[in-house]
Amino acid sequence: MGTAATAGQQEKISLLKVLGPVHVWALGVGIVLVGEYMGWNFSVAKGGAYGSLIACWVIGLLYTCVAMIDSEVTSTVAAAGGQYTQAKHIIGPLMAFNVGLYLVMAYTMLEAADALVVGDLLKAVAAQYGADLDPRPFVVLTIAFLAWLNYRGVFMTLTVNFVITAFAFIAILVLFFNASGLVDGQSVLLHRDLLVDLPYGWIGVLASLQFGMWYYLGIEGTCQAAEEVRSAGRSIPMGTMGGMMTLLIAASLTWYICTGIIPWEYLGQATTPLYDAARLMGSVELEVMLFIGTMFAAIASANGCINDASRAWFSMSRDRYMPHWFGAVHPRYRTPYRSILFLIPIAVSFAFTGLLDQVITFSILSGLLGYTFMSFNIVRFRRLWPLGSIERGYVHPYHPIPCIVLGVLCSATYFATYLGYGTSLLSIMAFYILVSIWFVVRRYPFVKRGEQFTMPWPRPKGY
Amino acid sequence: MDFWSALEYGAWGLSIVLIGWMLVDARFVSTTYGEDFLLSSREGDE
Repeated sequence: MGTAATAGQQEKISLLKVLGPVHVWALGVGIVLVGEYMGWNFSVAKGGAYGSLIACWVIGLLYTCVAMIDSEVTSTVAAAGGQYTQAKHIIGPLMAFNVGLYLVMAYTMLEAADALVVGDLLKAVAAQYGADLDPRPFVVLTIAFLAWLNYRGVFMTLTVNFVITAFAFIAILVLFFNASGLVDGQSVLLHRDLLVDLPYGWIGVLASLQFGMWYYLGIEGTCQAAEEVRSAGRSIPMGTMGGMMTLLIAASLTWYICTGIIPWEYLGQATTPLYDAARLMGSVELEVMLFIGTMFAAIASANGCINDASRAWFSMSRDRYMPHWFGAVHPRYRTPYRSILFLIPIAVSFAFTGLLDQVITFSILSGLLGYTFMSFNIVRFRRLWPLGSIERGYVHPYHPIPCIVLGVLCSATYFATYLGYGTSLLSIMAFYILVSIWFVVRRYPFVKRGEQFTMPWPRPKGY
Repeated sequence: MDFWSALEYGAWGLSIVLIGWMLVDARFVSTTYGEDFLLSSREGDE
């Protein structure tokens, strides 16, 4: 069973180290790729087609900084919990509690939104046959089946994610080759006629940054696998940076295809733009492929979100930031099974609100708060443990340029979010302030302070 | 009952089976193994 038992010591159990770079890629890209199938196009409504492309690349730069910084810190702090564990070691308990909560909220809400998408897609199929399908049982089934898969083991979970994510990515490539004429020499793209100047000027471009996050939201989730990879120093940087390259390609191709087929006024309001582009091309094979791709992308995203949210909750519970009972590992499947089970009703509750845009906005804002944390976390990490003082699996280049760029772009995105969802932004800030007060007053006394710092590092510089 | 209604009932049923299986298994694990063992995972342990 792989549990570590030695004479005279209590038998211990741990998560299973079975994952490789491919699984890390599947986790990161799997969570994100649904953003290419839907959601990114709202940036077109804000800033026009060119504004969306600028958002795609500017936010791509933000996430490249996130991936670089994350790869360095995670390959050094190789534990489940990802950024939560990093915050605990580098900043302190209150920051760690908040970051852990950002992660749980961001992934559970994204999971709920993905499940809602699956339900809505099936409802749309039924509507084509004249039936009025209730999407709720399919929302619950999506969450229940993926939770069951996660419960039974991380290797199978992320192997399934690899297969369905690869299909969804290949579907985008196939659509691109067909639309651009590389297959039959006849391009159906009409960029010359459809692309117009910035309809709302540069303020529109700035506003589109918020929805530009859909192209990449969740890639930082790769570091939740740190405790279950065979080699964190190799797998996390390879999986994360490889995932980021995949997403940059997928995002650029998606923009190129959709803006060449659908006028920006319609594209900005479409629910499933890639699927709509396939339908407009008049090919049944492409239509079916992109429908399956949309479905698979939503399922892969929900699957990865369950994995990540449960690891974050498990790590917080293991440190008693949350009730310790949730920190249990299944003796056979070696998964955080109580955390997986606990988050099922939470995700179903979010999904049953039906407020897809609000759920997604809260998810994006929680993610954005996490990225802001990363920008100063890496500065403190390098200051307290300079290069050479501890063994790092990966050292990101050009420090401190990536963290400065990340901080500036996060600030711009906060402003963009304030323009469109000011009330949501202020509400979520108020929520995190209130739970921080609860943590300090009520929860922190339960935390065993001496057991929190687990890394075999020397005393930090200056202490 | 038409095909779509049957599909809805099937989805509800399968969801109940999957969640029920996990709850039963979790209960079985809790009664078979001690809490000290189940909660013995430590960050950084190999």
